[in-house]
Order: sequence, then structure tokens, then C-alpha cells
Amino acid sequence: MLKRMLALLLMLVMVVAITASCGQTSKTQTAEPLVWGMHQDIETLNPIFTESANEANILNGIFSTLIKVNSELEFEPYLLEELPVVSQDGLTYQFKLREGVKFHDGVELTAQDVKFTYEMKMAEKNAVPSRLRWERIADFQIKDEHTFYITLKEPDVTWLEGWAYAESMIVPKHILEAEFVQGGNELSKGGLFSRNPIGTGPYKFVEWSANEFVMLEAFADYFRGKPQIEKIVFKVVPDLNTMLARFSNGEIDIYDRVAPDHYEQLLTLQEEGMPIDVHNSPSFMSMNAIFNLRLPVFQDRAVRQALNYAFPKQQFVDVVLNGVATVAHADTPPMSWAYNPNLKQYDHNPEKASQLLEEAGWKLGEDGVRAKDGVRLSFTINTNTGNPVREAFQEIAKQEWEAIGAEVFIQNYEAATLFGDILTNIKFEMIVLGWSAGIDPDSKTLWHSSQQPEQFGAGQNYAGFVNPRIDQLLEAGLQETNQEARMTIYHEIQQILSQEVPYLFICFFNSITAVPANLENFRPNPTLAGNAWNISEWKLN
Amino acid sequence: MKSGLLYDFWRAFHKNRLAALAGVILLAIFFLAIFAPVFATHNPTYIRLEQEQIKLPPTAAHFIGTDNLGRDIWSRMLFGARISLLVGFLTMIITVIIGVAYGAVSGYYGGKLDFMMMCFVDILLSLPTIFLVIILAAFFKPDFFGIAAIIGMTSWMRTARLVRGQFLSLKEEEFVMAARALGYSNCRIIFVHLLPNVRALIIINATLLIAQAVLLESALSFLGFGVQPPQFSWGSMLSSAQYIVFLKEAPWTAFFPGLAIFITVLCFNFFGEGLRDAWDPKLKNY
Amino acid sequence: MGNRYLRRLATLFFSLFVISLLSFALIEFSPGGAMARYVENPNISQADRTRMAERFGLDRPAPLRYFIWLRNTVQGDLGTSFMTGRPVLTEILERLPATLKLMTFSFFVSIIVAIPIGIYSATHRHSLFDHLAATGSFLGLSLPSFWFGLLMIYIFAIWLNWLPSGGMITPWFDPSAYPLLIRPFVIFWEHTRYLLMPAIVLSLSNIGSWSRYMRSSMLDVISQNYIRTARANGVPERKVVYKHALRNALTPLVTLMGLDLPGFFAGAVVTEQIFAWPGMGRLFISAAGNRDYQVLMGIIMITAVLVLLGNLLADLMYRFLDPRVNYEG
Repeated sequence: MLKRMLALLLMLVMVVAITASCGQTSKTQTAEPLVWGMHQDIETLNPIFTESANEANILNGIFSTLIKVNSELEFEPYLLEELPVVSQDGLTYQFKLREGVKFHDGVELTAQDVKFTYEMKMAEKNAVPSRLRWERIADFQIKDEHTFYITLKEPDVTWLEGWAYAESMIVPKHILEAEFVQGGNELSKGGLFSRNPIGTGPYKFVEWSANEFVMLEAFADYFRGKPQIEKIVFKVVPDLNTMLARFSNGEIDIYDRVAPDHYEQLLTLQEEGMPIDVHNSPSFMSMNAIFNLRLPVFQDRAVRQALNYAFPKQQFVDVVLNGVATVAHADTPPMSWAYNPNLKQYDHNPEKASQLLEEAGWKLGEDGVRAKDGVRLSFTINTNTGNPVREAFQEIAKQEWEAIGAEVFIQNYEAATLFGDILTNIKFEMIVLGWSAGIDPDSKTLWHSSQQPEQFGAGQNYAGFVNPRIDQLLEAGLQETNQEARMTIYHEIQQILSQEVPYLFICFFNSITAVPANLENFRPNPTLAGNAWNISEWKLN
Repeated sequence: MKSGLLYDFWRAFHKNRLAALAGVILLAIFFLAIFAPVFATHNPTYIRLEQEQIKLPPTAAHFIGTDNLGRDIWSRMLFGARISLLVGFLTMIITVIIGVAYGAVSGYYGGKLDFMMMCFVDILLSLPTIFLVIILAAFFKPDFFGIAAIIGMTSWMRTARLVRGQFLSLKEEEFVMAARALGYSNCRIIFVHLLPNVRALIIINATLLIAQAVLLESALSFLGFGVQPPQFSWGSMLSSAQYIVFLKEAPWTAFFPGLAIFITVLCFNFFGEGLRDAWDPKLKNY
Repeated sequence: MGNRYLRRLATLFFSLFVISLLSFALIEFSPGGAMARYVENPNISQADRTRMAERFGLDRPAPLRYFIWLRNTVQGDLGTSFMTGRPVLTEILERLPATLKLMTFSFFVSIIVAIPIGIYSATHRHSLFDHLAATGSFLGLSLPSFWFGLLMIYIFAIWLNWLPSGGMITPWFDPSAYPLLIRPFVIFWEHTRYLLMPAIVLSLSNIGSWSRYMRSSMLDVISQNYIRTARANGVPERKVVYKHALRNALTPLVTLMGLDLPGFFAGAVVTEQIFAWPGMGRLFISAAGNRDYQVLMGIIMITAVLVLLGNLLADLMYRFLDPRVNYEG
């Protein structure tokens, strides 16, 4: 009797509650926040310590940079009145800040805050992940409240770009200095400010529920006018399938960095009438297979070229990536101003590959594997576990290359092991990795002979590529200030790269984002600035 | 004595129709796995990189269609069975060898040694398996032996406990005292006299262990620590198809491997239960 | 009496010490290192990485780091996470409630479902229900959890749109929008609707194994002499089952539940991943991938403490349920 009554009561509770909260799932009114789905939880909201693309999107809302890079890859002054003026010798930059820019607590932004940001980046005890661009600063002079000069140690044409990204966002001196001093001249990545950030951006920080979401609301005194969208929530969705699921039933409004497999499904959803826009634009991210040029088997250029010919790059892009990528022939992405459209292309041609190998002296042995001077055409492809696109590359490569007489093994490692050990200690034979280029075409860190990490302790020339002409060109490219001249230099670099193929350049990914159809002014940005770079301009109709 | 026991067992097992059916299904799966090259219609690793060949629905040419790289799923299921079952068996063997040896020594010698050994087991048992597995995953190269080793090293504890329990009670039996009185060495007593008596327990436990291992292998694949290409198992097929789970285009790529795992594990469970019911209804420990 | 508990406590601490040593050694010998996560970043140079390693004290020898960790932990300081710069304890405490919520809910769901099924199967042996329950139990034990989880999301969240497909709560949920009378129910349902699917997925295998165990345990007890005596004495059947048999049948089940406790944590890892549940499981995976040993050690220690405490609790329950077990060491 008692049990029955209990059961009935429970049912009643359920019914009431369900019907009461049923209305909650509809989602297009402006009172409800705009929800952006993040792939991972963020680690900090303090720009001093940031180094992840994930955080960049949220930081775009809270903080501001001196300049911005727009979707057409042009610099725009943001906190500055105008773009900085460079001195004749290329060493000194003059910056002029806008007036009347306020932090979220009402205090006005001055040059002191910029200098403070620089000091925090260089403070000895601060665990700042990247000091690359900050170390190049020789001197920081403040002229007045809104004008300052920065002098570099050496002229560097690539230096300005960094001011547009999250790591250069300006932090408030009047708040952070106290925390710095209190910490014994040390800022902590997990300190108070990183959980309660205050910046000059269009959105104020409201709440960060660990591992769940970050909520922002519009800042009324934003120097460009209060943004139209009142509240934005960045929600953590670690699993891409669940992300798609939640996007399709409206729980998430913006699905950024869509997996290639999901692109078609999103298009299908759009066709079926879901009010979304699917943006598909080129990005600076690429995928490449790096040859370990120290190994005898890869020292022969014929081998590298043959492997390039034998791998079906276009089909890979079409079938595995659903066409949301472009085939790469060198290291510079197609939308860069320095892109060379006339490079040697390796269209899928297995016969030519076999021919190249034969002519170079790689004869088929009895076991079906080619060999030359006692060296067998046998190697292992490494990459990290859990990445289906890279695994697909490995399996396709194995099939195609074994057909032309190679012996291919696949050995994958867990990510930390791969990067921390296999890559850094040069234990790989051929490794499949991603790369993110910058706007500036300089790639000295990849190709210069002095950038071999195991020999010189610096650089990312893991391939071990040594080419005197390339060295010359790279150095010249950094010195040259005239864009036309630079373009010629980088064109030649790409030309050599496509001939020598120290990498098997696979493709440049497209960046796909799905947003509500009534979201105006959403403009994908291929740089490190992220797709939320102009978050202040977004409007919902 | 042996034939009598086996006969009783067979009669009891025979009555449990579900378990018998499970056994038959398992035999069929083994058969298909062993003779995979005979039953496969295509090369399971052959990739066809054309739009017209990928994600095809089940047809006469491809019984269960093709996956996202144009490979025949039916053939992959057959060859994948080998790895899944192999991982299951290898894990079971590793677990049984370590667990039985450990439990036998601990249970037979008893006393302080037993206390310390079981203390260690308890400590290991209080750690969630998956934590150990994730940490261990960084050490082992992710091939099927590595995975079997990892799962094995984190699963032997229960077996050890069970065997130890049995040994503790068995060693007080008269026949053991008799053997000791006859001057048989400890080693001989353990192997010749005691172990055969826990044979039933071990076999039942082993069957259930295989089931558990197959499941764990698929969970590991999902987390990214599973079998690596060019090897593939049902678990890795399932996890690479998870991107297409919501696909209205090709749900069979995920459905069939999942179903295969499910049926295999189910049958192992039923079979093991049937064995247990038939051999000794009093044995109620897992 | 007190002596026994003191011994238990001592064993507990010893166990924790061994666990910490073992885990530290494993993590320490894993190839890769905590700086591996910065390698792929073009803006971070080798010099930067070396500097960071020094800054985090990673260049100090392993035994020294272990000793420092141990000394700090005993004083309550679990260290700082490399990933976020915050105290490990804070990181864990932020996520622990979520994991505990999921586990407790799933635990109770398992008990509420498994025990009645087990009892009914035992009292109505070989009936249709018994067979169905058996099949259902095995089904629960055999389903790959993530496959089932994804399937459930597809059916209930996408296709039917009855339940949310992930997360723990709606960020902008405002209980004050509802009239006072039904507010508690709305709050209750709001929390429950997110919990429902992950809890079901998590409890599936436990329901399977516990109901089987309950059934066999009941069967064992029912066939005992004292039950027959009770029946012969005219005690009503219901009382026989629930008062006499159940109590004794529960004892082995309680031990099993204690043994299965770590399994809940383990299962939670996969479930949390699928349902984007903000718990410790995901923290563990990301810490493992980043070789953030302080976070890893912290999670392992806290989990171990919880599990050992749970076992202690199970032991106490055991004693409560079966008064005969009083002089067991």
C-alpha cells in the first residue's frame, strides 16, 4: 500500500516537472545566450599565459589587442589609432593608442598597461610559455599616456603580426600589478585574475564553471559601442559526435572547427531546412609527412619524389577529407600573398614513381622490396594515436607505396610520447604531423640548417633539411623589407621545396564553421586570431 | 572419476539450452575467424579511394557494405574477429597465468606471506583499472600484444583472490594431508593435487575474463589507446565509425562491429554461466 | 575492538603509500614528459621549453620530487597543476562533486533496479521473468558502454529530443522563473534529466552483475534449513523472504559492491567523455596526456581514499547485516 502510494507520488512529480520545464529547450530568442561549442576546456583566461587556440576565442571577447588581422589578412588598428610607424632602420616602432578606451571596471587604458603587459611576459618567475617575440624587444619607451616606442634588437618584419594574437592582449596594470607583487613578483597561471579577468574587450566576464562553460555578457562602455548580443556562452563539448548532436538539436549555436566527416551532414541539415549557415574557408593549417633526412633511405631525392608521385593526394582530399582541404605542394598556404602557384605538382602517377626508382637504381629484390647499395626501401610511418585522418593517410600510403616496391610499417604512439620523445629525440623515420603557418611567409624555423633542434638546441627543422641556397634565401627574406622582393624570394624557396620535397606536403585544411543563419557579421579568420576575432560585430536578427 | 564428472557436467550443461546455444554460436565465430580467408569476399585492407566506393550500403557484392575508405566491412569483420578474439584470449592467458600462480602460492603457504601478498592485491584492486590502463598505455606500443598485456596486468587480481580462497580451504582437506604425509614436495602437491581441483573455477573465470577483455579492448579503442593500423579489431572498427554513428548515410559501419562485440561477449557470458551452473552450483564467486 | 580498527587504519595508510609510490614510478617512467604538449607549437622554442621545465621543477631528480610531493601531501597540499597553474586540490574538488553525483545516482539506480530483480528472480525461479531477467542482465554485462551511450544519445537526444545530449546543467537555468510551488520539482527534474542517460549507461553492467549475484545469493539462503523452519512455523511467506532471507542474502552482495566501487570510477571515465560530464575522468585523461603528474597523483590518491573508505563502509554494513560476523579479524 505504502509502496504504491510512493510510486504514484513519484510519477506525479515527474509529470509536473517535465511539463513545467518543457518549454526550456527552444532557442532563438535574444534573451537566451548564443552558445559556442568548445572542443576542450580552457586552462586560463589570463593572456599572459595563454597558448591555446581554444582560449583565443574567449579572450577575443574579454580582451583587446593593439591591432587585428581581418579575414582578408590585412592589419587593422584596434586599440591603436593607426597602424604603428616604423623607423627607417626598421628597429623602432611608434605606437599611438586610442583615447577613451575603458577597462570593464571603468579605468582608462594607457601606455602603462601595454608596458606592464610586456614586463609580465618577461618577468623571470612567470611561467610564460612563449617569449619568442618579447625577447626581441630591446627597449620600451613611454612618451605620454597614449604614445610609446618599442625598439627591437634586430629588424624583424615578422614581429608586428604577433600583436594581433591572444598572447599580446593587454592586461590592466592597476589590477594585475598588485597580484604580481603579492605573489612574490610572480604571477600564477591559475591566479585570481585568470579566473576573474578584466579587459577592454566587448564582453565582460561573468562566470567560468570548470570544465563546463564560460559565460560572458556585453560591456556597455565598450569603445566601439555596446555589442548587440547580450550574452555569449562557451560550452565545453569534448566529443565531436556529441557536438554535432547538440548542434543539430539546437543546444549549441556555433560549431567551430567542424570535423571533415561532419561537413556533409551539416549541409544535409541545412538542406532539410535547419536555419544555419555553413562557412567553408581556407585556413593556415596543414598536414605533412616529414622525412627523416638523416636516414640513408630518404637521402635519395628520387625516393622522396617517387613517394610523392605514388600517393594520391587529390583523392585523399576528396574522399577522406570530403573535399574540405586543398592539396599542398609546398609549405605556404594558397591565400598567402607569397604563395607560388607555379610549383612542381605530384599528380598521382604510380608508373612514374616506379620509373623514377628504377632509374635511380632502386631495383626490385626477391622479396618484392626495392633496394640500392644495400639499403632497402623500408621504413616506418609514425604519428599519434586516436587521429583518424592521419591513420587513413598511413593506411593509404602503405597500400600505394607497397605497390611500387616499398616496405611500409606503421607505428603509432600516444601523443605525449610522440611529441616528447619520438619527435624531439629524432627517433622517427617518417612522421605525420600538422603545422600552422603564420601570415608572414617566413619559415626559417622549419628549413634553415641552423634550426635542427638536436644539433643546435633550437628550431623545428626536425627533418634535418640542409640546403645552402635555402639558407641564403631564408636569411635574405627576413632582411628584405620590400614586399615585391620578398615575394620573389619566397617563390624561389617554395620552388626548391617542391623539387626537393623534404616533406610530403599533403594538404591545407579548410576551416568549417556552422552558425545560425540569422547571425550577421560572422567572418571566419584563418589566422591564430580565431573565428571569434570580430565578436563585437556579431548581430542576431 | 574423470569420466563420471565429465558426464554429469555434460548432462547438466545440455539442459541449459541458452548456454548450449551460446557455445554453438561461439564455435561458429571461432570457425569464421580461423577460416577468415575462406569466407572473406575481399581483401580486408584494400582501400578504394573513390567516392562511388566508400560508405556503400549492404549489397550482393559487399554483404555489409563498405566503410569510409572503401574497404569491405564483411571481410574486415572476419579478420577483425581474429584480433578481437586474440586479444581476449591473450589477455585471459596472461591473467590466468599470473593470477593462478600468485593465488596458488599465496593460498598454499598461507600465514604472513599470504597476508602480505593479499595486501598487495587489495592495494591494486582499490585502483580503478582504467587509471592504470591509461598510464600504462604510454609505455606499451599499441599493438595487440601491448593491449593484451595492459589489460592482463590490470585484471589478474580477482583471479588471484579466487584461487587463493580455494587453496586456503582445500589445503586443509584430507587428501592434501595424505600427500604431505607421503612426503610429496610442495610443488608437486600444488600442481598435481590442488590445481586440478580448481580447474573448474579457473575455466569458468577464464571464460568470463575473455568477455571482459573484449569489452575493455573496445573501450580502449574508443579512448584512442586501442589497436593501431594496419591491424584492426571490432573495437577499433567501432571507434573509427563513431564519427558516422549519427550519419543517416552509413549506420551499418558502426552497428555491425558493435553488434558483433555484443553477441560475442553475451555468448561468453552465457557459456560461462552455464559452465558454472553445470559444474558446481555452489561456486558463486565471479 | 579498537585495536582492530587501528590496524585497519594502519593498513589503509600503508596501502596509500604503496599506491603513491607505484603511481609515481609509472608516471615518471612514461616517455614524453610534461613539455611534450608545447612541441607542436611554432611559437614555443626549445629554450622556452627548457625554461618552463626548470620553472616547474621538472629538472630535479625523481626521488626528490617524490619526496617533496609526499611531504606536501601529508600536510594537505597536493601540489599545483602544470596545465592550469591552480592547486591540484582545487581542480579535483571542482570536479569531484560531478563525478560523485554521477556515481551515487548510478549506484542507487543499480541497487534499486538490481536487488528487486534478483529477489523476484530467486523467488520465482525458472519463470518467464527469471529468464527475461537473466537475458537482460547478460545484455547489460555485454554491451560496449560507449556504443550504447552513443546509441542512446542518438535515440533520446537527437531523434526523439526528450533528453539533453550532454553536460551537467543548463548554464542559464533560472529556477526563479517558476512559481514557488513547483520550483523544487523543476529543479529536481532539471538536474535529473542530464543525469539520466549517463547514469543508466554507467549502471548497466552493475545492474547485470548485481542482479545475478542477488539471485544466486537468495537462492543459496532460501535453501537453508532455518528458512524451511521459519516456513514450517507458519511465518508468512513475505516475512520469510524479506526479513529472514534477504538480510542474509545481502551480505555477500555488499562485499561485491565494495569490490566494484573502483569500477564506478573507471566506467565514469568513458561515460564522462561521451556525455561531456564535467567530472574527474576527463581531468585524468587530459592530465595523463599532458604528463601532469601532480594532478594524476592527486586524483589517484583521492580515488584510492574513497575506495578504501567505501570498503570500510562495506565491512561495517557487513557486520551490521550479519551479527555472526563479529569476531572476524
